[in-house]
Amino acid sequence: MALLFYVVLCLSVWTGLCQIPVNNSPAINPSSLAAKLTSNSVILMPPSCYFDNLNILTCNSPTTCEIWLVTAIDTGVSNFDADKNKTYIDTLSPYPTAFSSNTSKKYFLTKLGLQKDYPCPVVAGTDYFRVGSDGSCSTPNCNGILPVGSTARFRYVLINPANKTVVAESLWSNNITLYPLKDPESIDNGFAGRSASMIVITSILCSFLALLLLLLLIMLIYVLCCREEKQEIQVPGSVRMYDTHNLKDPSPYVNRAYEDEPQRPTATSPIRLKSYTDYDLKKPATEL
Amino acid sequence: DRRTATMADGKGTTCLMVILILGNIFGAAAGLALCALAIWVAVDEYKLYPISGVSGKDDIFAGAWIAIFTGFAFFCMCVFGILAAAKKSRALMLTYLILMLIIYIFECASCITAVTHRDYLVGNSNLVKKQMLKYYAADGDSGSRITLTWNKVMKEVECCGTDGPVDWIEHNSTFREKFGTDYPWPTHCCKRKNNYEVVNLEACKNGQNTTMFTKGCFNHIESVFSRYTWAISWYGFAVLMFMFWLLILAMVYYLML
Repeated sequence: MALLFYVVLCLSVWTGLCQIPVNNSPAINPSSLAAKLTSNSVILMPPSCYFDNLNILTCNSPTTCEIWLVTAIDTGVSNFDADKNKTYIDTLSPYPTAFSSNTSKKYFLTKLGLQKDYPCPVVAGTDYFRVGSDGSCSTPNCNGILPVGSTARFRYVLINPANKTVVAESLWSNNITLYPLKDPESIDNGFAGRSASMIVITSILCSFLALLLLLLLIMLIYVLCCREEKQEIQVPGSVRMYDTHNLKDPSPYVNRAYEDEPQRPTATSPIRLKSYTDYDLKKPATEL
Repeated sequence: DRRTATMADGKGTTCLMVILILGNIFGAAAGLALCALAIWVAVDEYKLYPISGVSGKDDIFAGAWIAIFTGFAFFCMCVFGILAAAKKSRALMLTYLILMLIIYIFECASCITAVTHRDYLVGNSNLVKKQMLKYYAADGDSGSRITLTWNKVMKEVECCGTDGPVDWIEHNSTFREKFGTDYPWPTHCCKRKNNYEVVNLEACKNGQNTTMFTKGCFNHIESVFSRYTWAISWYGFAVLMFMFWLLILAMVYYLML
């Protein structure tokens, strides 16, 4: 029963009426690539073990069969499913016109390579496939970027290079939504918040400055009007700076001039000064 | 000698004079250190000035310039204060007090403005991110300065984007409008060999983390601006706290003269 089924299936493929389905579907590469999903490109798992172990009559060796990727957005899924039985499938919706208007087919095909380039198990170097690596290109089947922020579905297909018919196909992937680009003007760079240090510094400095100003003001007012005058002790006598030797050194004063006179002077023996010391000339009083 | 006497005399004034002189010596040293530190900030060895300059929030550097002059002024005034205290002259002490107060006000302004603008700039990563997205690879003077600064930072610090390479993917930018069909992020995000050649351009475009830098640059930018700000504002704050008590002592000394 199964054999009959397969025979029928192979016959159908040979006549180009249907394709062998493969029970895999493309998915975003799970490894830690930072750009696996951007606004206009996706990195998918490669079709490494998808199309092995198939008995295909028309395209029966890995060196001739080609693996292609179908990228479809919105109605492109149904458009491709309607077109997939036709020959020269790669010309039906070239990349430059695929997304250009509302009536375009919204799918395109791009070639990955020969089936032998994606062996099973996966070889390092072919463990990813980047959709959109050709940038904004213009050839019919280039690996061009997708419209920004679109939701796309992918499908790997095995193509017979002779007449470009789809020989085998994987399942459609899930909806993969690309990043919608955020406008940088929408970033709010206004109030970033006050850090604790700013509050401490500002408040303490302002209050100390105010305190200092206040204290200086009070001091100036005090000095200018409320301060008592300095008292100066007056020396008895009007002369301010006079060397008052008799107060400094109080002792009975002896006038040397009269030292040798034992008796009092009388009229008959008048006083004869022996010597006279002119104090005013020796230590002149410092006048005002 | 004069036969005059004042309110308080002898040992009290001398003790305060000695304290004041010592305090002024210390204050002179602190002021000179502030001047030197502010010169270091103004020189900007990390060359990150364009990030603050283009955004208009460059008062960290304005605070540094003010601090150069106030630091040197503190030094000069403290030397003058030593003289005024030793001479026990009222007029000189009053001059000292008033001039020190003026310098105090300017230094307060420097500290407060530096710390406030640091909060504007690097409080969160939004301002730096928006500036990067808008000006990187843009034409014009601002664009070229920002591009050069970011290239230098990405190369030296080994980082990409503000919070990470995802900034370039999530947001539209001048760079994306010019090169976005081919490059998800600038090639300066890619690791390079010693001869400046990119190790693996294709893998870098895919985002393989062994061939590109995956950490964000904001940590580095924030730490540099914080370092500058703490130098100006916290050290200035410390100097001002010291000067406050010195001035209180000087006022008491003036009242005793």
